[in-house]
Amino acid sequence: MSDEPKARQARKIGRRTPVAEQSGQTSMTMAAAADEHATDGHGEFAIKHVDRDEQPGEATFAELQVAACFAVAALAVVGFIVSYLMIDPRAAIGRYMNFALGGTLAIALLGLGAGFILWAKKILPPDKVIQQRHDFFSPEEEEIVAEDTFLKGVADMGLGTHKILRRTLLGAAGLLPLPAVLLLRDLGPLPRTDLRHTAWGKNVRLVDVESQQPIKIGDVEIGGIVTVMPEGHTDPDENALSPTILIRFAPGQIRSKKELAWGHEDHVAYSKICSHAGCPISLYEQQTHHLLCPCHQSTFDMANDANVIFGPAARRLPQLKITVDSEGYFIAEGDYSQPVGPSFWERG
Amino acid sequence: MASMGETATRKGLRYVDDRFGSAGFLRRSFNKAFPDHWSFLLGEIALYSFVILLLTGTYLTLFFHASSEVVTYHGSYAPLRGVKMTEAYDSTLHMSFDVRGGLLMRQIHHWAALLFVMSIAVHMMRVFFTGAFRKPRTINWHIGVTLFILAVLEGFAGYSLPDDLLSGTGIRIAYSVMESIPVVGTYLAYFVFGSSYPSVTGDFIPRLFIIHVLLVPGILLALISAHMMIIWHQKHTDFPGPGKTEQNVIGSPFYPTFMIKTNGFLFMVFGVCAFLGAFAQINPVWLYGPYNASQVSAGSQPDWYIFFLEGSLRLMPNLESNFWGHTISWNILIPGVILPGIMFNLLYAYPTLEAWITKDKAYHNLLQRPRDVPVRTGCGAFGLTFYGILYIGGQNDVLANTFHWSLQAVTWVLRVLIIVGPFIAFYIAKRWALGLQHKDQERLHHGEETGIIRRLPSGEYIEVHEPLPAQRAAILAAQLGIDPHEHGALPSGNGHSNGHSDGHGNGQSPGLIRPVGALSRAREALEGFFFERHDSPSDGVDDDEPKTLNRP
Repeated sequence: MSDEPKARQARKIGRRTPVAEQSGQTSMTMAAAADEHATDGHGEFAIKHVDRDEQPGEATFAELQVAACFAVAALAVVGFIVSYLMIDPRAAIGRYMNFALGGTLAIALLGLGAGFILWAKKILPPDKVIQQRHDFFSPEEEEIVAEDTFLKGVADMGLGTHKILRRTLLGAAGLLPLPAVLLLRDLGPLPRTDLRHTAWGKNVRLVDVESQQPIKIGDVEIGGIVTVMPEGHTDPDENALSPTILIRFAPGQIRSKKELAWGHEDHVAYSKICSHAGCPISLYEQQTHHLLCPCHQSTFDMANDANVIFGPAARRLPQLKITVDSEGYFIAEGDYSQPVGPSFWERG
Repeated sequence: MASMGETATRKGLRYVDDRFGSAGFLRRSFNKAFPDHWSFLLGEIALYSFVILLLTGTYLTLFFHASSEVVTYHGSYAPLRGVKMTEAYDSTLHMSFDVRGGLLMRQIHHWAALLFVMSIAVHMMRVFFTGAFRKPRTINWHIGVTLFILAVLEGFAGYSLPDDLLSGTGIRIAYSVMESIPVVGTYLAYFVFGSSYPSVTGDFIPRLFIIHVLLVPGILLALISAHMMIIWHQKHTDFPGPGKTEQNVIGSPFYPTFMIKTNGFLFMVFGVCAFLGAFAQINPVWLYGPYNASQVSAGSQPDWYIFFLEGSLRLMPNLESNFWGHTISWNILIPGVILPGIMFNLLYAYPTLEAWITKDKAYHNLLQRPRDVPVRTGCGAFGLTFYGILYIGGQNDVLANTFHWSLQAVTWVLRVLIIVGPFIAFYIAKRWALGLQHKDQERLHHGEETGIIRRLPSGEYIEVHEPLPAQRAAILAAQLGIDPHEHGALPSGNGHSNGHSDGHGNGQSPGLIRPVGALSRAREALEGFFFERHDSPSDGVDDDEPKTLNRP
């Protein structure tokens, strides 16, 4: 190694050591010739000539290989254009038109890519560049000048001495973000008590989401399960907390007294919205009466007041009190008695 | 005589130089050395998938309607005709079935997105396990972690845009995670989503759209540029090899060799994405149907980079606290907010932590092998195992279903594994690295095995070893942190021998003075752990007999 880096004085700030001093790998340095003027800019690069191990005629063959790749790419582009214009889009866009367009495009791109890589590997000179690295830190004098300039600026600004200036500045700078915060206020309404209510209410009929018809006793088979919405608010997207399931048990299957009391003749209604992350629970096992959420596998025992028997959900599904009206249709006796869906801070 | 073309080129370059003084910059840039190693291509894959994403994504915006206005579908896809859906979903169907090449662009875009996040992840592993994040490249590591997080968010925002049943389910979970944040959760969720989800105000999809096509890509573009410029300025790292030192970098010149090669690679990456877009169906939203808040399909799976969050939500036990009229939903807060927060912060902090523990303040341009730093490798294995088990946890239902296992059993096994697995992985990786070091030391001491058995005059049989070529031995010794001239020397701490002891700069050798504060004692203990070797390296030389004989 040249002794240029060693001429450097010990540094006052920081504990960086120039690379040259701490490497100790001089024995590995091959490009010693390039080190002479390693830092002057013009000695930064040295070219290491590498001979290509090449058979006679290989260069011509390499050129042919590259040319073949480019030719295939060009042909594939033609193929793309032909496919685009010739294939009837209405009939085939999701099927073989996609294969034809994508296939030809892929061949064109891969051909071009392969050509470029072969070109670089087989035709361009395999020479290597040996480039000297520099230490990243600046000469110490320069660092000190920069630091001094910065510190002088700080002193000139006089924030340390001009107390009133400093305090009013802090005040103004502190207040300035407030308009931005206020402007964000109308991003959404305040939650208020939204999350505590659903569209269910007293005497609201249970409507089957599929058929959009109110449900009577006898419409659901024993062991059957139906997703229902409150009459008049049957669009789930506008009433995301309202989806409810109506399950009919065989007599004697319900083990919870409260569940039986809140239901009507072995029909019970529970919120469909998982008490964990709000997915609509949809997998019902008729034999075990287990309801499984497909999102995170929380499992509820529907014969025992939707008790959580497995998974990350912490709470039972809320039950909707139901009865029947004079015409024999199922109606809710009121809204859910507790918030539906995932937990939140104000839930309590 | 100069040809016409040459004169014109010179004139052009002069024109630019007269105005910018660019000749010096160009000369240095053309000659810039780019080292070759397959693992250096991983970052390039990420860069090029980003280029592909910008190209195909711009195309998709020409057809996508970011609106949750409800319309009735009348397009070419017969099974959904007459179905009510949002304009977002309708326009996605339109571009898939009624725009020639639209489906192809959508599928290339989606594949490129998966590849983008994947290549960033694998590139980060390369940088981690080879110590490329060390000084002076610490800040670039931080930018890289930010890029990874943004890429995950960008991907999630992207696949949520079509408003199909699968993506809507994902957003509803994201909404619930936001809602679980104490004190501000419901407000935050209401402000971000414009009300509860699915948004009745219809503001959410346009917001998500601008986040996906402008906000996050803009930040990504800026940070990727910074990432590249820092690499350019600091020059690439390289593995130790013939002629390679901490002070130089050896490789192909940027112009023309590297430029041609890397352009070829861009086309290859694009070609592979096009191939996948053509033949491998991805995210067929028409099969899922439009989003409906009362439905969800079994086996709902996000894109791969969300699996770990899905898994953490699935594996978390059902804890919830209620007090003073408030609820904290630990079963969502921990796996959905706190855990990813810790994971990403550890990624940010690792380079600083390691430098603090090892007191390593030196510059590093030569890379290490995973075996050279067993504790770091162990930490990496710890993190990857933790991540990997969460990842598998995101598919516990699919696993149970496929192999006819009990879902409960799968979940419980994973719950146990998430606690013990990382420690086992750490131990195995560390011992493995030490074992490999051991083997390297033997090669250094005794040379390569030749397979030739010789009988000594005493009657003893020995295998003839051939000493390593001097250059190879020097590189190996440097990698093991052994002074190349004294092969028997004890390695003083995993390749940090020089930078480590020189790095103090205060003239005090560690150990002479007892550290005072609790923090310095902790640091000292961690340093001991970091360089702990379990057995003295000379144990490998268990036999004093001269085994190294020259080939007869």
